[in-house]
Amino acid sequence: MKSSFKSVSIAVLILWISASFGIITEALRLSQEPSVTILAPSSSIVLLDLKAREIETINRLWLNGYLGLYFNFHLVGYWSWLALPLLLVFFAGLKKKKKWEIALACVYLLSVVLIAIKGYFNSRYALTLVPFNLTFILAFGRDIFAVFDRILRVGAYGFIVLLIIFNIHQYNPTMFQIISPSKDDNLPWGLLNNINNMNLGRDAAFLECNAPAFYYYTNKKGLSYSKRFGLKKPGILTEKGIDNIFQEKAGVKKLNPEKVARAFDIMKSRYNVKYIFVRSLPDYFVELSEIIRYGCDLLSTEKSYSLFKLKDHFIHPLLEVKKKLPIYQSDFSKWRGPATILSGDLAKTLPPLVVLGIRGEFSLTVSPNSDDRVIRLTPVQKDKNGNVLIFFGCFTNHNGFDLKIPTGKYIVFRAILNLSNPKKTLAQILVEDEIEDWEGEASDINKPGWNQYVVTKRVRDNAKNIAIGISWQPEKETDSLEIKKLEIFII
Amino acid sequence: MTESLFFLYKFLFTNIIFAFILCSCLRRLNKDQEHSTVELFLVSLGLAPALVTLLLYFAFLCCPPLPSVGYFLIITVVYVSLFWLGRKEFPVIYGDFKYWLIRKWHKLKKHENNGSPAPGIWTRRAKEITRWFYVSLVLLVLIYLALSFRSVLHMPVDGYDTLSYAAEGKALFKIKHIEFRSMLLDPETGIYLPSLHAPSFSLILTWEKILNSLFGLKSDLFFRSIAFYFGLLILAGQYYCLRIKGKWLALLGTIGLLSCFSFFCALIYIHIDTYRIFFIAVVWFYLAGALKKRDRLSYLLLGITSGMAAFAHTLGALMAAITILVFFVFLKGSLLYKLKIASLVFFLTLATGGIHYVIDTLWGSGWIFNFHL
Repeated sequence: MKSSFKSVSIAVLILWISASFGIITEALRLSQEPSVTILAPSSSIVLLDLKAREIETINRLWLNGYLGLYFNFHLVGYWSWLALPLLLVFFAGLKKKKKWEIALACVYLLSVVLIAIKGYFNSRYALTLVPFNLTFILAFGRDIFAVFDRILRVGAYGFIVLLIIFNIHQYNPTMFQIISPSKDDNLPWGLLNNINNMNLGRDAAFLECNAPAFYYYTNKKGLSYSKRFGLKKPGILTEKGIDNIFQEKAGVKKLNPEKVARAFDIMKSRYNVKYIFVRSLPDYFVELSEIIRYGCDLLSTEKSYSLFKLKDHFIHPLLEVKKKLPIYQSDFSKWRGPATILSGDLAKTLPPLVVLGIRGEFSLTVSPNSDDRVIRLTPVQKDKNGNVLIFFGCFTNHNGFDLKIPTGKYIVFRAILNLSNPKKTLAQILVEDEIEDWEGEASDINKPGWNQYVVTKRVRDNAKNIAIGISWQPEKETDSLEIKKLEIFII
Repeated sequence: MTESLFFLYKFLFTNIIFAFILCSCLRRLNKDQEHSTVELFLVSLGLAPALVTLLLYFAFLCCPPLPSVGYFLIITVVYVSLFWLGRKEFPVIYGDFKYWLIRKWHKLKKHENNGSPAPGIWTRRAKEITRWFYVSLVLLVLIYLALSFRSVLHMPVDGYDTLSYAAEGKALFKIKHIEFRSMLLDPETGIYLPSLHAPSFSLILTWEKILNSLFGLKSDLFFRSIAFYFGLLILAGQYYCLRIKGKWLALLGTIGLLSCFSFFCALIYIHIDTYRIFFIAVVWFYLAGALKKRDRLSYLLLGITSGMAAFAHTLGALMAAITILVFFVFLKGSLLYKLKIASLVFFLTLATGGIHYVIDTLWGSGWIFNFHL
């Protein structure tokens, strides 16, 4: 009888250890390798947030999120999952358990469910149950191991000790780096001191976004640009709630420049905002990004914090173009050549346009109607690698485009285009400048039919060259790109 | 040097002296001797700073804004009253600790046979080695914790959440009033409520600023040390629970918990986590105790710690609600008795922090309809 009990114990222990290695390695593999299903579109800011939390795929959502208390090995260690088989053993012997033990188990399970549902996105909430988990594993485990003979008991405890040593070995270097007293912090002490030393009027305010360090470390008045109160309404937090100064819904990708200009005026007149203090401004704050881009001067940057000063006036290029004449406006009536040409002849046929980059061959055809001419671009031939791509436009001091580099100013490039296959082809209008390397802004050509596309770029100081044009990579031979109008402004 | 000395004063005053006073009161209620002095003292070490924040909360809620010295006096008067109630237990507590220390020292110096026949020389040597190995491991853990605390001393308040809590504490010190109507706490500085959690954690900084203002000093070291302090209490509490099963198991638990990276980060980085986890752990401890022992003190502590857990964080409020529900279901006795005891625990929970969520739901942000963790 005793020997059969011992055999069963050995079998259980071997099964437990084998299963545990299988579970650990499989869970490690699943949690480390991204699975097929991505939970958010790759271009969205939500995905970046999910990736930072390591829950961006279905596998990781379950292992690191809902069941993070047991399988988020990086954070809870390699022993926490031991609670699961022990819980099964506990519930198998429920009839013999005391009321307080069952009550604790109930509270524990309800808490696990609560944290899984409401707190899966934040691993700190799983931490709530970690001390209880470990206490349960050791206390209840001891009661179970007590029926084993000595060697098995040593084996069982030894296994737990091994997991803990593995924990320490995995995280030991990080822990000692963290507790080193020479570790630099992430606060912008210089910026904060400058803010404290500023001599401002009593009502002068700093607009703060994503930077509560402002309130704790400075003595100045702040206004919070809403972040924590949902992205439903972007605006300034007041006593009465969010003042939606942009009158826009959150998540808007393309802003009305007039609304942004009006919001800028409200900031200055109603709230007396003089400066903007931000930390790593998230991309989804497009409205505030526009204010900073076109209405502020950067004063200082330190450790991911930035301080901007509001300009006297908000200058958005798309508003200014209404008041200005273009420095270049396409005039296809000056087409010099046959109705259809190859891309190599573009420079002499329609100056100052030139081909700035090409793979394969394209043809350009001008419409016969002399009053409202349209250029039609079509691919003719792929290159030897099977690629076909064209980038054409204007380049400073080439082919009659004599432009003095307008450093510090904005170039606005506006085009009226019709792309035949916007979903399958890659097409953009671009403005780029060159110092050591090229840097540019682009706007995707992504709608069917005739549409106006605009791109603006501030020319960097010390820029040597500027390229303004259209880039297009068609998918098939029947694709086409039609151009009605091209305009370039300097603001 | 001045900041360190001042920190020591704040720490001893708030965490140790107040804990002794609380422990003496609890011991006075411990007529059945169901709870050991060590247990009551451990709980008091956590309750003491939390009770200070609760008193500040009610003072801000009920009284018009007073000078800082006024709040200091209110809290001191409360603790002096508690001291008066528990004064007879002080010599007993002192005696208990003295006896415990002497016993430990004797155990360390020589092996105790507990009446069994004297073991052979090899067994004696093995036990000697085992004992010193145990002591060495304990020392290693303590050195590691000391090194970790050294980094806490140099770490400023940083991180989005912690800075938000700290800003809230700073605003509460300035306005000396609890705001429910608006998320904007202080229109003059623009400080806003970081979340819908009760302000217990932020009030720790408020209390420190009150103490600072009495001496004309500026320091936030006490606030910065709270996460580490409560982390130590969690480790001590876990050790205490597992010690019943064996000292080696208890030590294994401590090392196991420290080896967990997220717990280590919670210990080092200034955040609310160890503060709220301590109270949730204590709530469950007293849930088990109340169901097992069915004594008045267990019911009282279950109610108080549930309230403190709720007062620390929304998650604590939800867990306190679950705990009270489970307590009602599993409590032995007639329905009337269960209702009576569970209601007592429920009202104690409200009185010691849960009331914040009721007020906020009815007259504030509508907490229960808007909350998120």
